[in-house]
Amino acid sequence: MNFKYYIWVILLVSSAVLLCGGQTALAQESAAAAAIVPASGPLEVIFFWVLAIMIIGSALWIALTGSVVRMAVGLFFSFGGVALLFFLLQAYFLGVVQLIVYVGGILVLVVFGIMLTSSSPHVRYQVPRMELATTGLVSLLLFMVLGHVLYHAPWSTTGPQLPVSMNELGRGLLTDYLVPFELAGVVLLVVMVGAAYLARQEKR
Amino acid sequence: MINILGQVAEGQIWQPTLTELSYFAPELVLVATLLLLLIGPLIAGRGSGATLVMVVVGMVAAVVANLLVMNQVVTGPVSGLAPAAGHMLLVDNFSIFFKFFLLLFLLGVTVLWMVGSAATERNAPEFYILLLGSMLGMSLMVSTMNLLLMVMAIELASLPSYALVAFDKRNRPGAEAAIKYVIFGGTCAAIMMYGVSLLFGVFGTLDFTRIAPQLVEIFENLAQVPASKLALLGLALLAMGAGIAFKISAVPFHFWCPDVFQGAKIEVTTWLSVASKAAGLCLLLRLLQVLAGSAHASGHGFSAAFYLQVVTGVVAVVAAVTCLLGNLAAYRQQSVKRLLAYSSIAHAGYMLMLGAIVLTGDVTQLVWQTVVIYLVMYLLMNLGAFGATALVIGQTGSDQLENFTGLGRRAPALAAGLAICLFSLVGIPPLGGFIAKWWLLWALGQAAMQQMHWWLWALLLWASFNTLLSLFYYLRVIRQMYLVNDDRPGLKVPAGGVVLINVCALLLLLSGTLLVNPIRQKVGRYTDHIFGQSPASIVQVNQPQNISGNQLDGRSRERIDTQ
Repeated sequence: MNFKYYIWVILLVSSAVLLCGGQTALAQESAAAAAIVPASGPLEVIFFWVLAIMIIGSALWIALTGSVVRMAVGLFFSFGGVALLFFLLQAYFLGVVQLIVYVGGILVLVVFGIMLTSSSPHVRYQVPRMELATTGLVSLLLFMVLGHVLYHAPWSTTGPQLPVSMNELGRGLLTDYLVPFELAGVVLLVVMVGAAYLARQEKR
Repeated sequence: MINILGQVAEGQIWQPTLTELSYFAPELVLVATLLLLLIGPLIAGRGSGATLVMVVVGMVAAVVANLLVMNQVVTGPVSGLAPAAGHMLLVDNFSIFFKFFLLLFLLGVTVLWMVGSAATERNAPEFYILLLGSMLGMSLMVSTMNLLLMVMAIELASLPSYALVAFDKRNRPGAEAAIKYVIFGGTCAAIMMYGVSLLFGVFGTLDFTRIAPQLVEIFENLAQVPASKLALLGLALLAMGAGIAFKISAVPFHFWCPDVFQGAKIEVTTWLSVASKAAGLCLLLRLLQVLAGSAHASGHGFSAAFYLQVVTGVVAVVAAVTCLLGNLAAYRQQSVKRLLAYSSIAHAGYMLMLGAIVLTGDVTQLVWQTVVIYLVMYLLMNLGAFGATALVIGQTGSDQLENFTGLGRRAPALAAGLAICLFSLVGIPPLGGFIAKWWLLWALGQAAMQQMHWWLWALLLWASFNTLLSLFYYLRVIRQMYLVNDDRPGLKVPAGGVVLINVCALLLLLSGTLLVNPIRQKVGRYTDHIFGQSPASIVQVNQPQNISGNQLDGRSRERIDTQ
């Protein structure tokens, strides 16, 4: 019975976050034309650390918890945190997309997937000790290499100026990036056909 | 409010012109065929016959479109369909060749499908939508220098392949193989995207033709570049390489290959064994070619830039290990599909050796010629070998080696064709496979002569040694067919399949003997003026945003390298 509440909570919170995110984006969008203040005040720093702890903490929770439903909840906080991080970086469009696609779409899909496929929603997911040790070691090594390299890397600062307005974004998608944009449609079409075929019940 | 339509009409906003679109007609035709296959069954029904008609119409249209474009790009590559984002899509002689190659292969797979499973297939439209989708992805992989489009093309080639592997829903090993393929492919794609985004972070552009000169500059001034930047670049290139190596099934990323090849339907196995690997390989060669062109343009050759040698060395080592592992693992296999899977890993290794010498400068023309010849021969050999296996599976229900016992007596025509294809896979003269290997060794030898690097000679010896190794496991199949005999009844194999296999065998025989000279003359047609070959083609002309449609017609497509 508890399982139902999980889903309701997730749906409610995600729709609330979606609404808030959309509002912020629209409000910021109109203000975007005005002068842009680089984000580096104390409030931003505090907000960043709160978000970072939230994202990493919930990501760890996903990896360490045994229950599939808890993993989905962890996923919610992780995705939501990344979306808020995008807002903090003034990438409003990306933030909204993150909310709509990941929080609103994929997460709900995951929850429904769990609900529809497993006999019990509280399936425990057991990993053998040996595998846990080896994957832990590999992940740790990967983390150390990536962390070291990315921390010391001299990043290029000549990228596009943020925030990019929706107009520019739309124009970019239909001029410079017309081919990838259209190709994405073909990819989705083909994948949809494949998925529908695989999911369809074969008639005897 | 901005009046967008007005701006388009006044030519202030870019839009593709008809000429520009016509250069990419083959791709557009493929998309149209996809849509036809989606809508057509509503009118014509979902039968195999109707689907086949639609596919053949699409294929013929694609061939015609490709022929029309072919003459436009004889003198040099054309790039277009984007005003300022660089070489979004490009056409040159090699991409024309690759589209013909894919279409020819699709024809072969279609014949195989008609013989094998068309009669019992109830989902023909879906099968072809997925097949054509992956084909479109593969042809785009070889026609772009934009990293974003490259990633998307790889995905378009991969995602339908996952579904194709699981296509026979009653087949549990197929489902298992598909899951392995998805997880492995998804991880590799994620790693690759990570690498690409790191590259974007460093250079601020997704156009590889703009990244390559900067890369070469960094490589040449190693002393001034901070170590942290080099580490980042190394990481990015390594991660990007992982995604491409997955498509080629080069060694640390080859685990999916045997399971997927064994689990999938044999038509799908045949398709993946040649097309997917060829696309990955050609993509890698294109990237290396652009890098080589930039190094050449900067005045420093291969030997001046130590770092380029490191890139080359990595490719060479991966190629060498891939060869050895493929050949050694093939020994113990009892399943012929699995044996051929390892054989295809070994062949990917041979072809990857060409990647190691693209950067050496003076032999690039030879490298591309070798790729063209090797791919065509490899297509014929694999189509024949997998086709024969398909027929045996169709008659006996399994691909175990013992089912091939006495095939020389039970189905002589089939066995003869298969034997020729297998001998050709080894590279025994006077077959097509020998010609391919000969060109490969010749190119390696030329590179070694010019660069005088001991490891290039070592690579050449390694390729020959591996050819020797491969002889034994191919011979196991032939021995089982001809020298082991028991009293199994004869096989009634469908005539169409036998014809397909023997056509492959005949072409292999001819290309190794009578057709050697015509092939050598023809091959230049597809390897001249390849994108990135001459330094001039690296120069990127930025298009002004506000130009009228008529002017754009002449300017947005740059014709490069016309000499």
